[in-house]
Amino acid sequence: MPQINLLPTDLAPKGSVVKASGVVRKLTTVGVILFILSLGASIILFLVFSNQLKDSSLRKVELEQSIKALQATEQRLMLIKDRLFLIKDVMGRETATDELSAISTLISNLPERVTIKDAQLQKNTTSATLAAQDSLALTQMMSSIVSLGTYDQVDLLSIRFSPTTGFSADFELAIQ
Amino acid sequence: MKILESAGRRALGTNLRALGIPLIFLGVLVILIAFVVNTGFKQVSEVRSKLMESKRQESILTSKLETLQQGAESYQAFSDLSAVAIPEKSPAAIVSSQVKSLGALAGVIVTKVSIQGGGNTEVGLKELGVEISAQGELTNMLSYFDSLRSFLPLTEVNDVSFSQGETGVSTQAKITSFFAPFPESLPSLTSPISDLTVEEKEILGNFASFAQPTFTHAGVSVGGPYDRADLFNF
Repeated sequence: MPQINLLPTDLAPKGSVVKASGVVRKLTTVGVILFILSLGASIILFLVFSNQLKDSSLRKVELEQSIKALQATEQRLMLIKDRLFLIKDVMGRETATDELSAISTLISNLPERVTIKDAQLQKNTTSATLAAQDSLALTQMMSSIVSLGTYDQVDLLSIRFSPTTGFSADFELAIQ
Repeated sequence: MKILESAGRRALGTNLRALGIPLIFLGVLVILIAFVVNTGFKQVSEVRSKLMESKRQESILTSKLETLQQGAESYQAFSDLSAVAIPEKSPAAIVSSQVKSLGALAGVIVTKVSIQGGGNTEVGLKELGVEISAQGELTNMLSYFDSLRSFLPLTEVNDVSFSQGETGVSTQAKITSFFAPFPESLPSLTSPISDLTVEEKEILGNFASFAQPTFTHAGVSVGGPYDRADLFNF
């Protein structure tokens, strides 16, 4: 028996509306699937992360207890670090230590008949008075100071001569 | 005319019903998605960031524990050395003793040791000025100068003057020694620590060859009161 549509065609929805409705329904279906998937993924991730967090917290407590047991060692390390900070500060300062080392080298290498009469050592500078018995010794002394290479700057301030004591020379010496 | 208007309204209602119901479902879905994104993902994100922080702290603690376990033996010796290098309290007596004993070792007579400074009120590194006068042979004096550069507590040589006399060399030297209070608290348990570097170990290793104080703090034992001996009844 043939089916006959008794409804007037004006009462049926328009073709474009039916198409749009179909698209919206498909979108809704896809959206529902995505929603269920993302909700499931969120719940799984939440549970996994929570479980890992719990394990990590337990391990942290164990580590903290082990570290507390080594508190004396940690105190020693902190003391060393604190002292080293201060030691580096002290070691970074300018002192007369290099001058002391340099004058020791100079005195040890002075030629015969040359003696050191006096010296003042300060940070960055050394003033010294050297005595030479004769002119030959004076020449050797000059040569020795220059050839030694201990000082980068050698200023000869004055030379005096006395028939009884010989030559006396004042120097200002600097290491750079 | 009225029939036509009525038919038009019915047609509009049919169109609205056909499109409206799916749109309502879509709207509800969008609201649900927004809710899940806003709360669900936020929760997951929070737990994840807590986990990351916990793992970071765990890593710091593991590294800290390893450092402490590995360095336990060397820290004992190094902490003693560093505490002697820069002591907690004024090392006036120790420096004075060191200066004199080094002089005696070098064959130099230390005629005067005067100490200035060493107040305990300042914070941080404190300085102790020491002036030394000494007499002796030039070679001995050079040896003494050498020893002044390498003894503990840590000292810096500031000024040295010497003059050759008929009996030998007389010297005046100004040196500075240092002290500072020990740290009073440890950093928080989860703060990272680093082991000593090679350079730091070398510095402390060098100190081991320095002349160290021959006396250290000795506690006086408390005793008594004791019965007095009867002098008339021995």
